[in-house]
Amino acid sequence: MSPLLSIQGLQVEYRGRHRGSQRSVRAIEDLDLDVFSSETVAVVGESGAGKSTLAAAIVGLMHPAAGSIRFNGRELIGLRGRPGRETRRRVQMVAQNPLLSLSPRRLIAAQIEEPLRVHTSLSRADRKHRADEMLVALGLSSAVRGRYPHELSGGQAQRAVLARALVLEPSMIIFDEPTSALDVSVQAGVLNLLQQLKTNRGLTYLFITHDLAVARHLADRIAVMRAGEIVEQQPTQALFANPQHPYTRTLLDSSLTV
Amino acid sequence: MTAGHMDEPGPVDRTPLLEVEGLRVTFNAPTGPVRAVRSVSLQVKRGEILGVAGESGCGKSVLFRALLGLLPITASVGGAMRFDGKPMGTDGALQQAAALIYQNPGAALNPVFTIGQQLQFVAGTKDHAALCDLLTQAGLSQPEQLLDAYPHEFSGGMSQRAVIAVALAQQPRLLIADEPTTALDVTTQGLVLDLIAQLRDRHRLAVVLISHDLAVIQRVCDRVIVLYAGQVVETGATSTVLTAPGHPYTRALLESVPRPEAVGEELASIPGLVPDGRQEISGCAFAPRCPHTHDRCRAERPALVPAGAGHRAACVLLAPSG
Repeated sequence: MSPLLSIQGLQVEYRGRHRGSQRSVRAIEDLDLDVFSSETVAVVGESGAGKSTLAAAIVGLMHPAAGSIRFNGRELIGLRGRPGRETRRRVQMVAQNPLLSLSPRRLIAAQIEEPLRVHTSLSRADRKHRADEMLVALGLSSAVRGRYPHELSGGQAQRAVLARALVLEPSMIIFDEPTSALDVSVQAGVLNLLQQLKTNRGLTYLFITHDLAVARHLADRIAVMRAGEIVEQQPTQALFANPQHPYTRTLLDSSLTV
Repeated sequence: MTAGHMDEPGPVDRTPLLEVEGLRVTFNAPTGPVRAVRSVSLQVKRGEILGVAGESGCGKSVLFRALLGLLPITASVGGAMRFDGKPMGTDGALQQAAALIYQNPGAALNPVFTIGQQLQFVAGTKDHAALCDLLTQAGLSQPEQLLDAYPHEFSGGMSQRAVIAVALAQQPRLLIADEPTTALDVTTQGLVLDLIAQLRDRHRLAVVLISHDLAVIQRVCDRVIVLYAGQVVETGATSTVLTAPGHPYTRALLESVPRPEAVGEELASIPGLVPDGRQEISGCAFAPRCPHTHDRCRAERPALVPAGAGHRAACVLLAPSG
């Protein structure tokens, strides 16, 4: 079986200037990662490991210095125009802070319909219908349509972001710490919803988190990242039972549990 | 301020260093009063770490800002506070004796001054050895070099240690740590918590540790109070409250944490929302979200009743009816 997402030899650099001279920091160093269809792969690691840069590179927000990112066999790097849009709508992203992902000045309904306006030729009525369906599927009342982001709770706002990601019916979603800004009781509801959506819609998840308990709960496979590299990847149970890399062991040992 | 921290244990321990009785905080918003803290009583002794647990909006940060006199003028504060046996107002007088450690160390340090300068301002001395000693106590090695460093040169864990060093420079008797490890990586969280416990031992500090994370509370706190909607719903020894919770809210919080033994199973989330401060609450504040609600819960406001030795919870299920 060929992977849905295949990353090979990925390098991402941040360029900058320091006292007049060019300097660059390599955030991702020769990274390989495959994600198969209907799988949940978690990427764990500490701040600065390059997890979010990886997410940004996959969805095209960062331009890699080298390497290849293939989705469904198609190279994403440098893909532009209509084929670019066609492919990219299949890979959506959900970020950590829902209030930063949503525009504070626009109604929730307009924000959920926006991807449909950009990517489809649906009529206004059809867009509204689709957005409504999506809100209901995510357990949001239709009253949320006419609200602004600041009028929602954290859990509701993150569900709205998820609705916007799902409205194009993607096959893969990249989550960058989607529950880190939420309370545990709310996080539990969102994690349950993610599991449900995955089963019902056959979605594939790449799940970036610093929280090992969350990774263990959701993921089929875990990749441990450190300083721009994946130091270890294993099926979830095997990783917790038998961590190979010393860094993985440090990470597992230092995580606090109730 | 007295310099002698290392003194006799014994009788001092019986009277709490900080006692708070029926504290209320209401914000006077244009749309009407918002009750952030409805009624909270608590005590902290010297040499003890009290955990304050609860989710966003339960009033945990506002509570301690009120005690330190750090709230805006739109807040009205009621209730009584005693420090070291003496009545004290909420006008900021407690700032003399208490130091606060914030969640985000990057925001707590001033980016344009070196760590050494910031320590100097608070410690009131330029003595290098004394300043280095503060950094060493906060677990930072090679303090001489760090004195001339700016905050941006520090990692998150180092910054939080620098904030702790600044806090120690005040020679506080009470340390209030508001989510001190939330912004840190897992590998440094435990170390910073251990440091706080160590400083408690060395200086016989009374410590209040505010956290939404029950694992953090579990790691270092001797006792814990659980807040919900600006009220204490449960209090007791940490080991008791977190293993045999008496209040359905505490139980629900514990069950919503993902656990290795229940991988792939549905997590128990708490339906509904925390009541906001504009709502009047009659009866139990948790009743609308509680799986065990019955008529009594809506009718009477539960008081904290004994649920075991030194363990109390505010649930009518624990109180005999009538």
